[in-house]
Amino acid sequence: MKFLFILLIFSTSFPLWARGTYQEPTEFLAETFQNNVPKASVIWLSGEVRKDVSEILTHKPNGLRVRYWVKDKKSAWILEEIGKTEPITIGFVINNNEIIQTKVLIFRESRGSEIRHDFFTRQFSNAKLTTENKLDRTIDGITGATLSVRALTRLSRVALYLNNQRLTKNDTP
Amino acid sequence: MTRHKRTKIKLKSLYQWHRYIGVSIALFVLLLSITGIALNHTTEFNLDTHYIKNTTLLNHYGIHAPERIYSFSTNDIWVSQWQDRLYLNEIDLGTTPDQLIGVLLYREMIIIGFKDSLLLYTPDGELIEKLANVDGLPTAISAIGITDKNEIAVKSTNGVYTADMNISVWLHDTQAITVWNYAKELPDNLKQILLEKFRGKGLSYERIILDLHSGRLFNINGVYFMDFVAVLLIFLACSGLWIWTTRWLKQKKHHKPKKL
Repeated sequence: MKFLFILLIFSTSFPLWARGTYQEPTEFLAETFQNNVPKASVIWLSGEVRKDVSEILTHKPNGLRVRYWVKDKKSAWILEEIGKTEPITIGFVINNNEIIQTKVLIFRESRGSEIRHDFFTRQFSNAKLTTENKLDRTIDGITGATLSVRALTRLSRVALYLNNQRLTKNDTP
Repeated sequence: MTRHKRTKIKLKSLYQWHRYIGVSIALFVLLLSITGIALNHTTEFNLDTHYIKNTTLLNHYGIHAPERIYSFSTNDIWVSQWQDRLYLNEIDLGTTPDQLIGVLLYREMIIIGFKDSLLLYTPDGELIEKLANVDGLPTAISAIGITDKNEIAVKSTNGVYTADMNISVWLHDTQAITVWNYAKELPDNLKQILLEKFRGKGLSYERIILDLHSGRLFNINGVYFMDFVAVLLIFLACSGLWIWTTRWLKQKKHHKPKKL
């Protein structure tokens, strides 16, 4: 009986534990660029870019421009997307059009925080974008975290897409 | 009086009580059923996203204007904060828990300042970007303004910082001559419009239906009354079962096949 009571308390309080800041965005950038964070650049979400990002997100992006940090060939993106009701802040590091790091920085939802674990985020390592703006691989979901998984997958596509746009823009004379 | 007669009188009395109570609470059964169905489908009926505008009900719930409204103005643009709700002129920008500290018009962008963040909007109220500490913005900002070099400046506990054209780099600037944006009283006509808007988002249909269901709409007496109705419903269920069982047993006894 005592065990059942403890189990009940544990199970009801678990969703509160799911929320949290796992890494401050500033720390994520410092770690990515070895404490030498470059000046932030901006990319405007207008015209075709806005249309494509809206298609990936399945809704209009929350904001007209996105900041990113780039040094050599490495770029870092800190993006937000709502899982169920609250935004999830995720950091991506991209090199050579491939994701080299995915990190859940702030998780505000009551459920689905399992997406922060390495066993899940490592599925995005070396992921690229296909010509249809989709990932070149299938991402295995997590039971009970479907919406968070979807949000993270969509953001990974947005990060790769915006990185492509950044490179195209820079290539233009 | 025979035992059979006594039982008959008792049953008749119970039946009468059952009938009178049934008629008396029929209206409340309907109320509980209808509100119960509505509460089960709040999302489908959009009850949680539609709001009451009736002044009497809003007053009944004590939904008034906040004691303090924070408002700032620049170039005929008004930004005001009503509790946690933010308005750009009459446009509802949503909620934010941070306290508004100023507004600027900079390169056709409206910059709304908070203690630890800046929100950049188009004049139509579309969000461009949110800037925070991660974007190099100083923390603990107490005021925002424009310098004589047409740069955005923020006053933080560590001094005055100015930003570059893209608002990407913030530098400590001791020489900046800044015109700070100070709070101003909202014009009466705008205040009246916003008051109606603000109050209009304070009470959802879901809340009213829930309070009608529980009786809380009529304070604690309403709750006790609904409890009483619930007790009567329990009585109806029990008396109904009792009447039906006794009649069924009686009928069974009468229709027993006679032994040959």
